[in-house]
Amino acid sequence: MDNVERLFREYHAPVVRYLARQLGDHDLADELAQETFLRALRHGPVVNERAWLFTVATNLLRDETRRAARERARLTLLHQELASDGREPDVFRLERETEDERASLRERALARAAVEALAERDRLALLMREEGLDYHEIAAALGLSVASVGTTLSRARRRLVNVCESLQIEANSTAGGTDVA
Amino acid sequence: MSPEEFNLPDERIVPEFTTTGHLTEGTVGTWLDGVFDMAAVQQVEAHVQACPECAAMAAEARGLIAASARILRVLDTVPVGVAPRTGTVRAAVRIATETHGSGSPVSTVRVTTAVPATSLESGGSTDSDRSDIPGNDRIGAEVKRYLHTWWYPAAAAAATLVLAIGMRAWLRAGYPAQDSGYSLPTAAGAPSPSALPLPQPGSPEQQLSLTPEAQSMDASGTFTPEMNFSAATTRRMAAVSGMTREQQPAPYSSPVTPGTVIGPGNGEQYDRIEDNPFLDVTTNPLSTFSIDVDRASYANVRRFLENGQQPPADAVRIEELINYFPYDLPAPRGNDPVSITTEVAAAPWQPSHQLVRIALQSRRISGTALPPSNLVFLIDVSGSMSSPNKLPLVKQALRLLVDQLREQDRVAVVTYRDGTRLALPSTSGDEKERIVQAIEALEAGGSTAGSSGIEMAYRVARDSFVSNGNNRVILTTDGDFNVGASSDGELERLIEQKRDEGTYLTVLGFGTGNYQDAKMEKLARSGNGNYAYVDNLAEARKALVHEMGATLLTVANDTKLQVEFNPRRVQSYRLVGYEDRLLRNEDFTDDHKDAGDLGAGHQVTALYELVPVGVTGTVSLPKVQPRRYQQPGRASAAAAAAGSDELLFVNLRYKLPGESTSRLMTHAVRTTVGKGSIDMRFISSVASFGMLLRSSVYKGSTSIAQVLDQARAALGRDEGGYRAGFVRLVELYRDLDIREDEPR
Repeated sequence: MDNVERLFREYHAPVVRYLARQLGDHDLADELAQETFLRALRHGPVVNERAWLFTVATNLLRDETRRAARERARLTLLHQELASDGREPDVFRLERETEDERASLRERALARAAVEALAERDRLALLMREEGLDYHEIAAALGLSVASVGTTLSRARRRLVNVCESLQIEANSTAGGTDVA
Repeated sequence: MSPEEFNLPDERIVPEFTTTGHLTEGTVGTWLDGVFDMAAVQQVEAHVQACPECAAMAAEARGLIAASARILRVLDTVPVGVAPRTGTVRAAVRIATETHGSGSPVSTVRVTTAVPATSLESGGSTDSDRSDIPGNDRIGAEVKRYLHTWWYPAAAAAATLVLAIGMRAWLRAGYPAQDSGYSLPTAAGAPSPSALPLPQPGSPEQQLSLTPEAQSMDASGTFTPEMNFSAATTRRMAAVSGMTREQQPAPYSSPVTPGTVIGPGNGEQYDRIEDNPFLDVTTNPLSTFSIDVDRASYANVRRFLENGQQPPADAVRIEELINYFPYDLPAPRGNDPVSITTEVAAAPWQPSHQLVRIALQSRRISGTALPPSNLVFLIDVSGSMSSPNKLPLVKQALRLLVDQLREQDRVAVVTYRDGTRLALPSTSGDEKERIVQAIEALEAGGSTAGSSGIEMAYRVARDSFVSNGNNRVILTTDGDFNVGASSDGELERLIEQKRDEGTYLTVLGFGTGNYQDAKMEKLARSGNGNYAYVDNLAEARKALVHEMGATLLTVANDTKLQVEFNPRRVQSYRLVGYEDRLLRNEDFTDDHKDAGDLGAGHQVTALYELVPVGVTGTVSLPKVQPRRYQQPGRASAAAAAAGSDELLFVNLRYKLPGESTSRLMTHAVRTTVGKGSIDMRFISSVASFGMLLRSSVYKGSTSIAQVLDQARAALGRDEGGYRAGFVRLVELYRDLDIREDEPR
């Protein structure tokens, strides 16, 4: 098994998940992950490979978000539609949907809104941590000091949970209690 | 970026305090994330123990860590642990069509992986791009694209796939027949209708409708049929298609061919547990089983509930839930390694039944009096161990253990991933610094485990073997225990052989998602070892340090219990839990038959639910043809004299370590029914909770409210706060929207 194949096997899933959680768009995440591993292939062996991959992925991500805001706009459209009054988007109106499905779609929209409410650096740090990166790797990838990673993560987690809870309450009250999550 | 330019900072992270002398939030988070080195951990822990405010902050932070992980998981578009839902397939088709047809921008809506199930099943081909799909082949291409985007990134997808296959098997096998699941086994093979509240055929939870359209899609071999059933039913079905490797033929006819149980995680595997049935005392006067001191199930159940998931029924082992908690039991007398305590009370879920508790307490040995230990840690450091609740937690747990080591103890560390490495040669316990450095240097990465390293671990253990000592290999793994070319069977044989040579095996399970409960328990059992699931530092402390004596040192081997019931007092009985520990009656006196071991200071509780003579209508037992040569009513004169006011008689067999002949202890239980001690009431609430979680047919009238009332009233002194933790867990379950136990 050559090095890139090994890298791919081991880190492709975490990198894609990391990107997809950021972008809310799986295709785009896949493309950026492809590009990340392509660069790894061109680059040859690296030390601190995981941190290296996540740094490259983060750079691509930042470029992408800056350049293509419209990619996200279409998702925002979807989630606003969902979060506004629990009404499902047009495409789903044609389907007989279970309560379950509606709840899960709405839950996802809430989670996405909460993630987007985080400052970019906090969000990236938290998502990297969720993929198992240690503080030193996160610090290297984001250009933070190692000592500040703990604070960054604590802040991100607290805000994520708080935003999500308040959105949840808001959504429940606008839904008039009929659509209980 | 070149490799030279890409270096990680190497500064040490130190705890920070606020001006008011408390830990900063970031420090608490860093500590819980397992990033601090040992000195820092000790500093933080000392402070947290002394400072209730910081302890509260830590508790909150733990909650935030769990909650934020949960929120982020919601973003992963493959729903974990949720079966393909109603209309999913059609939604996929619809979305695909609309995307192509109208250019609608909603192409980002993703679909669960029900679609490729059949393609996998039909000979491993992933050729879902078939033109015979009803509709058009553009959809096929779309489906294929979905498959590609999903296949690599989502490990969870595999779980969903297998689940889908399991359901298809279930469908093929036909609707489960009326008599197939729950009746008692009989010699004549003719189950009688039971008085227990059984799910009736045609009840909503078992109803399943196949629309003609869905059937035709199925016939084309491309789509799973559309199914209408609740998530609860799918879970039940997943449990029904239970994994039954090496399982003895079940007394019930199973509606499905054996498959694999997929837990709500992804890829977690559990052996099927079928509640022990009520047995007639006249035909089955003896009940024999091996004791089991494991309690991994409790931590595992807690993990599921804290993640907001219903634990799979097969992950709930009631005896392990009960044995998780410490009870107030007398120490063994004289030279006995163990004491037997019994108690009888009414069963809270069925007041006309009685509950008998048989509790064992093994001799405690204080830490300083322990014989020398020769420990070899075998640690998985492959990439899958990198998440915070795995290797970092292992490292913290090991650091805790190091403090307990004495000069005469020895520790070695072997790691494995694509290769095996001796990370620390066997080192004396007084060289703590060296041991800590080796632990600190452990890092996860590299490919999945190619070699298990177990041979090397055993070799190291043998080279530093301490006779009369505690020689043990401690395997820490997330269940991805790859044995390479050899089979699981060969591995078990190796472990058994080493056990006979005096080196035991303990298994510590870490992490989620790939966790293989059944396999790990089996390995530990083969190695005369214990098995614990470790999900947080407190659990690590409990498993390794606080109970070092119990976890690591055996005082009685091959411990078996045999209970004889008095047919004058007891009609029928049921052993609660221990489903996979049952022994044949003749195994009790067979010293070649292996059974569970008792460590120092261990406690074991077994519960029997009895139907006393005279109670009718609660349980219906199969009629047995009267026997011609043995008259069940006729007991010997001695038994008649001795047994009149006896309910049952407990026989306990064990071997002292190093001996090959077993010894016997006995204990008679009188019919007196008490109100139940605090411990007894707590135990019955835990058993009730276990039955609710398992949706057991024997749960009777119990409810969450009753469990809570009982547990709250039976906290006792609650040293260590374990019972309070149980109450919180039950409250959490009550507040989760996942319960299946309420009347529909």
